Amino acid sequence: MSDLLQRIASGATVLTVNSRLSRHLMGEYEQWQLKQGNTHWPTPQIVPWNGWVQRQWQELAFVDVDLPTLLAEESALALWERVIEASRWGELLLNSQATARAAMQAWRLLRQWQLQPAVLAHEEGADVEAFYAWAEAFQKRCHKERWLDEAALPNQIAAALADGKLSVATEFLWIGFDDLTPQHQALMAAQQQAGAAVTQLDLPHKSAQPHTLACADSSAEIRAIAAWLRQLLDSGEPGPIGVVVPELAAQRHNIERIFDEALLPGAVLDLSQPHPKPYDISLGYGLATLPVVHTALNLFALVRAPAPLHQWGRLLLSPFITGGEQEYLLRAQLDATLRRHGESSLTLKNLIYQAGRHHCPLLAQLLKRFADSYSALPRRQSPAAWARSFEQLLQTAGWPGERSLDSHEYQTVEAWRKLLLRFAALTEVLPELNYADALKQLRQLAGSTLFQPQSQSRPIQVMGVLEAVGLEFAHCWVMGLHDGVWPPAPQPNPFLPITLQRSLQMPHASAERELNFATQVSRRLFAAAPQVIISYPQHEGDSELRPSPLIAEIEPLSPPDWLTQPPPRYRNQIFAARVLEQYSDWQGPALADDLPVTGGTSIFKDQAACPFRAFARHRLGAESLEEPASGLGAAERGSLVHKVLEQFWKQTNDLHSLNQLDTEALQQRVTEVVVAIIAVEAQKYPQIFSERFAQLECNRLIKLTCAWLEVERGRPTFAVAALEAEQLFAIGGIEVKMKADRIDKLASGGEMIIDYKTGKTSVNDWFGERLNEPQLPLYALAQGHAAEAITFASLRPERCAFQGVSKDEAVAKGISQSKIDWGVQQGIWRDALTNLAQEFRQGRAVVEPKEGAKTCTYCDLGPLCRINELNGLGLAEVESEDE
Amino acid sequence: MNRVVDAAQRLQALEPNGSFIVQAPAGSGKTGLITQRFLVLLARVNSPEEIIAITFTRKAAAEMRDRLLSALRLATKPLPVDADPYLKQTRDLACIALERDAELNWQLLTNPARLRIQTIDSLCASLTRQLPIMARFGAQPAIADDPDSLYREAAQQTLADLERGEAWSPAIEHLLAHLDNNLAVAESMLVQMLAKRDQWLRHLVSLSSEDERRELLQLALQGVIDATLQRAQQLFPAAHISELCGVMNFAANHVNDDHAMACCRELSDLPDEDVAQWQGVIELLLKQDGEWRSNAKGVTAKQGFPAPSSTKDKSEAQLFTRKKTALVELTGLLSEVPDLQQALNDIRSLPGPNYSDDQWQIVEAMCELLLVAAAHLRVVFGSRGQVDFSEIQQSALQALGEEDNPTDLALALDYRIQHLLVDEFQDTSFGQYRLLQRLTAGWQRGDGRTLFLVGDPMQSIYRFREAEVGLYLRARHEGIGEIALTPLTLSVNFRSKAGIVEWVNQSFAQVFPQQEDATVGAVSYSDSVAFHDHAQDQNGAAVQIHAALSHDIEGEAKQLVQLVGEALQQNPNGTVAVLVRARSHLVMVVAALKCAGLRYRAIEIEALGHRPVVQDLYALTRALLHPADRVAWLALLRAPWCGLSLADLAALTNAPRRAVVWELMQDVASLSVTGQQRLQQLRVVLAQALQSRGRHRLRRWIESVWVQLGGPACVENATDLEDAEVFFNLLDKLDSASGLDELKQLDESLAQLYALPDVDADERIQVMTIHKSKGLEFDTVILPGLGRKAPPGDSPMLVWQERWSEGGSELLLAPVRATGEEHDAIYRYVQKIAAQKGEYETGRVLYVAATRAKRRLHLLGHTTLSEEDELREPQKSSLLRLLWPVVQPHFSELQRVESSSQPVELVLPTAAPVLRRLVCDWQRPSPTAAVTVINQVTAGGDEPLDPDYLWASDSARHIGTVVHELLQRIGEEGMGQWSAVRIESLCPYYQIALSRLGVVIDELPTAVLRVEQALLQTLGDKRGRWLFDDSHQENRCEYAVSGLLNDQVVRSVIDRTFVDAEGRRWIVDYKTASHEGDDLDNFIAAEALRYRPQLERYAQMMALEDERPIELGLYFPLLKKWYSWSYLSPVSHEGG
Ligand code: SF4
Repeated sequence: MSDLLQRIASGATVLTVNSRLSRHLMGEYEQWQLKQGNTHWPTPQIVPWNGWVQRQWQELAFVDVDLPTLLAEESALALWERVIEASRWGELLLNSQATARAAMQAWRLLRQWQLQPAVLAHEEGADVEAFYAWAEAFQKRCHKERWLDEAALPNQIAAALADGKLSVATEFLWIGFDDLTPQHQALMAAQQQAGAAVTQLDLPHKSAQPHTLACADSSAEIRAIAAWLRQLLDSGEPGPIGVVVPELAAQRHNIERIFDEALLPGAVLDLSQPHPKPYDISLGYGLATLPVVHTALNLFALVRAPAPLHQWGRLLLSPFITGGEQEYLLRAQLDATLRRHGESSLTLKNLIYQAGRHHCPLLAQLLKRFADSYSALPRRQSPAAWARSFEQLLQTAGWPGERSLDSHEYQTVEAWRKLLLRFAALTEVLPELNYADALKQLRQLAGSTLFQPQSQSRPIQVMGVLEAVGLEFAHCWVMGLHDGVWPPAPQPNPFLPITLQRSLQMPHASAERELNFATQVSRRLFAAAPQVIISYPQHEGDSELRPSPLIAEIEPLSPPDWLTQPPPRYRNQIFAARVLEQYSDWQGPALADDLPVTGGTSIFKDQAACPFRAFARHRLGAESLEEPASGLGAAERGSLVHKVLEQFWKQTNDLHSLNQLDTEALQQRVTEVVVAIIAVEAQKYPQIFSERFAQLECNRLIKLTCAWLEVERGRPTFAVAALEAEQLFAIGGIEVKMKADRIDKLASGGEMIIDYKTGKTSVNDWFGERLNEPQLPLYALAQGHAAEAITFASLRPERCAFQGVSKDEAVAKGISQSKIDWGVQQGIWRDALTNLAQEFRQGRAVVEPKEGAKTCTYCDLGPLCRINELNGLGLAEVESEDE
Repeated sequence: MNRVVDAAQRLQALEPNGSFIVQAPAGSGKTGLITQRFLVLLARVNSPEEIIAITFTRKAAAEMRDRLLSALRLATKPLPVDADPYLKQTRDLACIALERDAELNWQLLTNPARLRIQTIDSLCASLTRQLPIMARFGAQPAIADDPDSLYREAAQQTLADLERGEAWSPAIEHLLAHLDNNLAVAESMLVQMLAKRDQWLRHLVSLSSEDERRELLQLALQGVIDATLQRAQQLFPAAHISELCGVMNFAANHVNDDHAMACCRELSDLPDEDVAQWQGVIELLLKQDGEWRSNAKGVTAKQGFPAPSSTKDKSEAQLFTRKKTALVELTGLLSEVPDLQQALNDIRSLPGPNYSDDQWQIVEAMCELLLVAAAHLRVVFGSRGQVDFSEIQQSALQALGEEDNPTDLALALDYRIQHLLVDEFQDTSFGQYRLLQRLTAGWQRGDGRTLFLVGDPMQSIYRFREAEVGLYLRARHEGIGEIALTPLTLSVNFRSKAGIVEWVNQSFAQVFPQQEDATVGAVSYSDSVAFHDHAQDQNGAAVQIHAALSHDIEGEAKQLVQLVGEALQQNPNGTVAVLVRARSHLVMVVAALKCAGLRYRAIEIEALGHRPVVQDLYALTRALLHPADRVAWLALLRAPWCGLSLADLAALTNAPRRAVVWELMQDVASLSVTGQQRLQQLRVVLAQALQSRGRHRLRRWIESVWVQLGGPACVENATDLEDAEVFFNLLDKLDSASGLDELKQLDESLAQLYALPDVDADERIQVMTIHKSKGLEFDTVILPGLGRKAPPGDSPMLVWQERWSEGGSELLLAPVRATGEEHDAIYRYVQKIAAQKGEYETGRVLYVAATRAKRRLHLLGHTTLSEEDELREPQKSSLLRLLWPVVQPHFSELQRVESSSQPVELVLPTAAPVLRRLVCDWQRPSPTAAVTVINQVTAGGDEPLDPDYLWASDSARHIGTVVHELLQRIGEEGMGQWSAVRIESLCPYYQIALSRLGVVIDELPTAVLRVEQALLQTLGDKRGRWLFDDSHQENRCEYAVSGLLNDQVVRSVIDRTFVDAEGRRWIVDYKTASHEGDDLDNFIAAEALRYRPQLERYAQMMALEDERPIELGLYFPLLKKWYSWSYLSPVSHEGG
């Protein structure tokens, strides 16, 4: 090693395989310098090789301004995408951007192996054929526009070196290259040609003591690592400690969480600030998944067309726009209101209106501004111009909000701005886009951009296998080496002929190559520190895993203390310290006399179904957020029928008038009523009542209403006495507001109370101690003696009919005479309803679902009433009755 | 016994050139057989990838891989002395395989990934990955976690086309009108259909016109009719045809012309394809309820048999009697013919051969929309970059090419598939079957390629996952594609004791249908032979039936607990499994086990979302995500960490204005004292949480609040903590930018998860569903609740059936019922077939359950007595009903004995209405301290970010970069080389450099001007010229230097440094700031203040290099300004 460092000190330029190795060597060099007693020294040239190539390109540009334009990666990608879309395969493929990515990968391989697309000209297979066509088109286009793709850059530099256009250092050391591609080799040759001494150095190989450890699963592995780290750091180990993870992306969040839990147990108690962590994970977060950016992208998407409510909801509750803090609670209520309203989607315009009505002035203003700026945008412009427009739009929204940004958010915003710049650079290949395409590009770019917050150097480094190549640590742990990932399964590039890939030993081409590669990497990795622990999970889900064969010969670790006695987990400590008390609390306070009762007849229904439900709903106002579904909900459909019939009977007072209308006239009157009502409703639900839908809904209502009116025609004479008449009724100490759908005067002079129902109904629901449907009995009591019949008017496509009971016989078809004396029946109802009312008044709130699990099925109060805790087991008995 | 009686079959299965279909009943050791065959094949292929073994699950794949690798490893060691013949044989085969390995250098033992053992899904994925164009993906998409949301999106878009004036908009209109204009219903129907599109899409896509569609779909109807008639014809005994005709002609002549039998007046043979005539025949033979007309009393003039008393003519009366008797005799004979009654009844329920126009209209609208929806789905897939498994499978099929023009896989895969081994073939779906067909397309007999299908049709129980056992039966008869399969049947059962095997043989021969029938999935029973002797250690019979004469769930549960206890007592090391058909049958069982203090391992029994710990977390999540979610907030206050009383809740919410709970919580004056105390802590925690929303991953956010509130102290047991972990993992999975896209996702995912088994469970006692137990074995198996009905099935809106037909399969599609109408005949027919398949499968479920037992099997079930105290048959759809012929004696006996020895007394708990909460003054323990990170001389940090970087606008920053670069060049080349002309000529370069850095196109011209201006001004400026004067010593530009400052290694890049004639070291930074306005000097001063620390750091660094006095300067080329000061080395600096 010191030989290498000596050469660096004497001015050799080091080219490394990746930037991590550069940093590592730099660190080594600095330690070495310090050890020599030096306090300062010229910073050596240790750079990743591709960085060096880029730098040379700049130099070249200085001497030769006539160079082609270098395409940034995203521009090249966009170009590939265009090429693919324009090809005859474009239409067929699922996702042209993903395809472009894959094609670019194949292209890079060709370049790295110094091959021209022409080598594919005579290859068979649809995949290669397609790629060949794309590659040709891509190359042609680049040629025409004088674009240079990054994959070809090293070749250009090599050529320039060979031509003597560039002057270079006197010595190059290439370090960390387990695989030298032909492209690398050509570059090295060119450096030599330019007069430099070029050496490829293998990193010195140290001997080390690896051990293996089997863990139950990957979480257990990470836990073990955490315990190990804890013990190392506690004993004063300064690092560097390496943790190498083959499937880092999948494990990242687990690692972070478990490490935090073990290394910073108290951090879980403090959400107010980011905690300085002793480890660093070499993998960024997807930029698009970060909340600040999410809000931005969401804003852009929402402005366009009606968007689903849940998407609006996220914007409403976002802290990253103007008023996000001030109006936080109000906006939440606005969201709840919108959900209650019943439409599943909403336009920006509509929301501006609603925001104004529901006490969210800041929101209304910001959306208005936003909408205005949006409509002022040109239809098509360049990505560069779009980038600016996007910024402006964000500004009008007050993004990133009024809360002061923490350091993480601050860096995210910075990353976002860089992203916009990269997006703007697409102008080179995509001169003009419309809004939708621009947004799509931006999203894709954000989706594929990783954001890595900056950090101070930390003692623990967590990284993937390839990044670890060549690094040395004081301690090292390699996890996850089961035989499913190590050696990796081959994954040849589908766009290149497989025989070609195999014969040229391209990466991932064949099982043999992967084995060689893994063996080579293993040798280094297992010697990356004096002590290396290699672990593997024994299970993943319900399948069993085996250790990688490449670690089979390594001695297992004899379990040390830190493994067998890891420090207790905080949650377990809390659990152990629990002191619970039992209590019984099923009685709310009695209702104060002066408090009005809201909820109407549903109080009785709820009290009968489950006293707790009534208490929660009507005393505590317990309500969940609605999740509106597409189209009209069952309740709205029902209420339309109500409205139609109300209107109809307003115009047609009795049987006589009804019978005066012949079928045609009836149809016409119904149609008029329906059309008028739909017109009103369409105002209220503009999204739902689109043109044809409204027409269909009219047809439905007309059909149903006419069918129903045929039933009415078959009745003995009657006159409509009241429609949707409101009244107050006191019973059992509470006073409720009620509204009977309709009351008819019968020939007998008595009254029949009618309740329109579009759902399933049963007369049985009126009987028993706790009646399922207390509504009509309540009306009956309210009407007193006059009420001689109560009936459901069941309006269902399969059948329209009355279902009711009456004092006398032959009131109408479907209405049967009460089995017991009408007066007695009324008394029974009075008792039952009084009882329910009193229960409610007294605040009785026991959890007593009338029919057990069945009653609870459609009740959303489970988390509040804690029925499952009471039952002790979350299983519902479905079938129980015999025969 | 103890002899492998089917050894010959097992040996034949290893024949490397043969293709086989193997029936491997429970316990017959099929994995071992597949392993052996794999080894045999390995010895003959050129690369191990040429063999593909397909398993049903990933778990099974892992197991098989393990078996195979252990077998191969066997060959590297000497044979153990106690090895049985199987082991010895396996080792021998492995040795040969390893020789091949060595010969061709496969290195299988170090590269086991080369063994292709995978699920069908992963095989499909590998095909589409290697054939991106043929598969029409382009690049491998991800598998969607939640495909339903994609279906929903596609369905919504389809329906939204209603207003878009598309060609199919009328179809949508039609469908909506048909469904009572219920958009939600239409949407959910489309969603369901999209999820199952692998079953219908294929049939519809190839047809371009409505006529073609109608023709094809009606062909399927006709196919059903033909097949049904044919079956009846085949079953009808030829010997009785003439009798039938005799009776028929008589009866037909005695009915009115509109009678069903009227068309049979001239019948001389069995009807051919005339359904009406068949209906006539059936009318004659069967009663309305489908039973034979075997009672003369029921045969009347209505059926064409006038009463003898109706005629005066004696001979006629005799004839009447004779004919009547003949009919009864005939039906008596026919009733002996197996399955005939069923076949005739099937004809009865046949739909007509054509759709009526009304029916067709709706079917056509559906077809049209389904295709549109499928197209929308494809777009949704594309835009999300995600697909479902079905898409992968269909694309794989596509990638494999046409049947007559298969894709050359060798090109794409680098090897040719030579051998396919398929496990659990009985659970193959149509889609998978097609895939196999396609994979083997072009295989020729004797070309060395082989197919090896293994399964047990008697254990096919995955109909709900589209398993079609009929395909197994079909393959056994007809082979697959061109490949004929030799059927082999294993019969040795290595698992169960003889007593069990014998009982199973005897019982299931009766439970299973006699006749195989692929269309309805009827599988007949195949005998097993026990490998093990009758057990010596058993007390009592291996199979015990515990009959009950009433539905006493509680009693049964108590009995079960006793049986569990006995089993553990008799065999303390043995396992006991309680297996049920439906989870809901476990309620009482589980309560009883708990009550008896038994801690069992319940596998996927209890819904995770119902665990109180999860429910509280769920409420907490909802509350934090939405302040207006009132139920969640109230639940939060009532959860054990707060435990607010109802009185306090009422007081809290008793506010005139409707405010969110969080707002109400700010004023707690009306609450009780303890209530206020309880709220206090909660409020502090929540306030901080709400403030930090959007700053943490959802999981961390919720978990932190939970821990802060003492959530882990609120749970019952350690298992709850693990359940909480599952919930948190779910949150992590659903996390979308620190929130949830839709709450629905959480609900839906939660509904699919089960609580974990008790971490302190007695591993010997296991409770699970029969489906879950497949592939497992237990010493004792207890099957409770056999007398109980199946949970109710659903009646889907849209039904169809994929039928086998000549040259493939066809689609029988029933019209959707209009809202409010009855289902039509096609629908009823399809449902009837489905019901029948279901019934057969139920028998197989029972078989699976019974064959899990090694030593003992307990069956618990009940039936009831009629009013007359007669034994009733067990309820329809109960498992006991299937076993009735076998177990009836036990019940009859019970009835006689009427014993009622009650088992142990167990008092099951009634829900005690008690809640738990943390005590009011509970204190959370404090956490262990965080690790301390030792500060050392850390290796390299670059300079902290230039403050400039953060403030300057991008362009300005980039201008600075380019100016720096050029000044460096000027410094390096020497001022002499530079002139205004040269600077101007470099403008194109500035442009390139600026745009590379990211200066937006339209800002380029100004930026270029700026650069030029800065350079020109430097050149023209006296100070500038001085700065780059060649006569200075130690001239350095962009000097990169590292050094130790304050115990940190710092790397700096100094713009410019030199030593002037007086021996002073100058350190200069260029600043390309521009400034408008007149307070320029103030500006410069401010800038100097800002950059002072940075420059002083440079000075500190350079002071390490030499002892010269140091002067610091800032140069502003755009402003032509200069600011300098002398560096005063800090006194404490000594030693550094
Ligand atoms: S979930 Fe059941 S117990 Fe709870 S309130 Fe609703 S109905 Fe009552």
